[in-house]
Amino acid sequence: MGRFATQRGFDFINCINKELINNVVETSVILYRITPENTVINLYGESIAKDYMVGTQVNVLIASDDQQTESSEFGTDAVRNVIFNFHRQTLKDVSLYPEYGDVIAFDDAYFEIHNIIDNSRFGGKVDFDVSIICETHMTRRSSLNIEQRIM
Amino acid sequence: MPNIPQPHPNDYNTAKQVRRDADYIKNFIIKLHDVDFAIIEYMNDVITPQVEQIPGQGNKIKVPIIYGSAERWASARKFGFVRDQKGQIQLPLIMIRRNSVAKNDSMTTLNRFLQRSYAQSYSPKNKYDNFAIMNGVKPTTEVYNVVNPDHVNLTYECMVWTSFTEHLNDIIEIFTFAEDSYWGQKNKFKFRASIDSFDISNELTDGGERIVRGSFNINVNAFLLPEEFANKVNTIKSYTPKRILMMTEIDTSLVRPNSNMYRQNERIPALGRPSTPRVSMVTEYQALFDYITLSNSYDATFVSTNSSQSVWRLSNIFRVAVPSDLASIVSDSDRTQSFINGVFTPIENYTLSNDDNDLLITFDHSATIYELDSTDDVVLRGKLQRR
Repeated sequence: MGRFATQRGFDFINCINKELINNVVETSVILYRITPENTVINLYGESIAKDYMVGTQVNVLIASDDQQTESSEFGTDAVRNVIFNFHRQTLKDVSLYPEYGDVIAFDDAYFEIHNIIDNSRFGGKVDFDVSIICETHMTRRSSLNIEQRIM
Repeated sequence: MPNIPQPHPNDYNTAKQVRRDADYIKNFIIKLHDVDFAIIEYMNDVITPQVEQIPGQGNKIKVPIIYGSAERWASARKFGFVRDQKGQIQLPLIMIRRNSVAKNDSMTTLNRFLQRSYAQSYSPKNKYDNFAIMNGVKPTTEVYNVVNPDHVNLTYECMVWTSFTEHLNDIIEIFTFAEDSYWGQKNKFKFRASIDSFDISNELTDGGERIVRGSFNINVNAFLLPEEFANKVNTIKSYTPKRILMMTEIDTSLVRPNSNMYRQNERIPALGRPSTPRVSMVTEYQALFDYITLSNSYDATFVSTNSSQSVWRLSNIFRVAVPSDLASIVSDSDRTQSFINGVFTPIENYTLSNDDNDLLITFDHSATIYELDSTDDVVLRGKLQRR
């Protein structure tokens, strides 16, 4: 046990973070987790009909880049990267752990997790996990099966 | 009186001046837009690429086809149906754009100086009615003479974006099946289209969306025809003649001498010299004109008959001698034609001979097959004249 990174200090930090995220900032997202056992993968390592668990609403801290517009032969295309900072203890309370490919619904768009940073710890101690940082990009609704597509 | 130059009558042929403003048939025009439209409409309406949203459930989505590199406002607002509310393109999507227009060297034999004629079977001037049929009225057919179009090879670049390889497979399969045939809408322009190969790439960028791309080129054999060239419309309308009169006529009023002698005679009055007698072509070739226009017919009277031949007489009739200038081209069959009871008889079936002032016709019964007698009518026509 370190001199300054104590269990008491970690609990205090946890409590402050939880209150900040859930009672002060109050930015909620819905996390959809893929269920690999129900999702069939084809020859090409892709699944057209992905199966997601029921979405779970959690509060997060968000660091969002500005939306960019790329121009190509297909016209304009919107690109946006968002970093979602989950409170580790909050996720643990609801038995949730985000993984690659999971989708986060936020700001009327869907963001696919392409990187997870799970090494922000209080005092660098392994047991004192503070947050899970998910780097995401805005994914196309057409590649998801969350909403019925009408053409 | 001033000498005002008058246009030559042949410069204004009113028969060729046809009214076009009331036409219900438009000019034949083939523009690049028509080719583009035909290809894209065929892809949309006939090929109709579709993908299954969820395999096995049968809910197919028609893949949108857009023309490449549209204006930003159009791609963002007019083609909003391929984007979500955040402006992100929804896949799958097909983009097509024309890359090149090249001359078709294999069709260089056809050029814009040639025309093809297309006849309109029935028109306001050529109505189908019983009156015309009963009276044997020959219809006037509308003919559209269209300049040959310019043959070109167009190359279209197609790019396909999908989220899944399975979707791309579906699209490639349907295009492979549709290629090497004539693309275009029914009853409209169709052009032969072929696809050589498909390039496929899967892109999985760092922190970006996974995209499956496919690209292929469509080679189209097309043709182009502008509405007018050099202030001349490329679709010329005309009417077929309603009747043709066959007659012998020589117009000497417009005949102008070409030899130097005639020109000299023409210039003399202009120089103020006393006019000299003009040499007229009519007087110089009078004998030829008279001989060419000569065509008399006379009834022959029966003289005698037996089993081998019959003889008929034309009293005071003689055959006009052939002018020396025409001797080499005029044959005996050109000089006279014989008719037995109104039926033409070849010259091999009879012989002509002179008997004092008369002309005798002797028919050979072995040639005519049948025997003639006094009840038959014999007429001789041609270069004949009464004494």
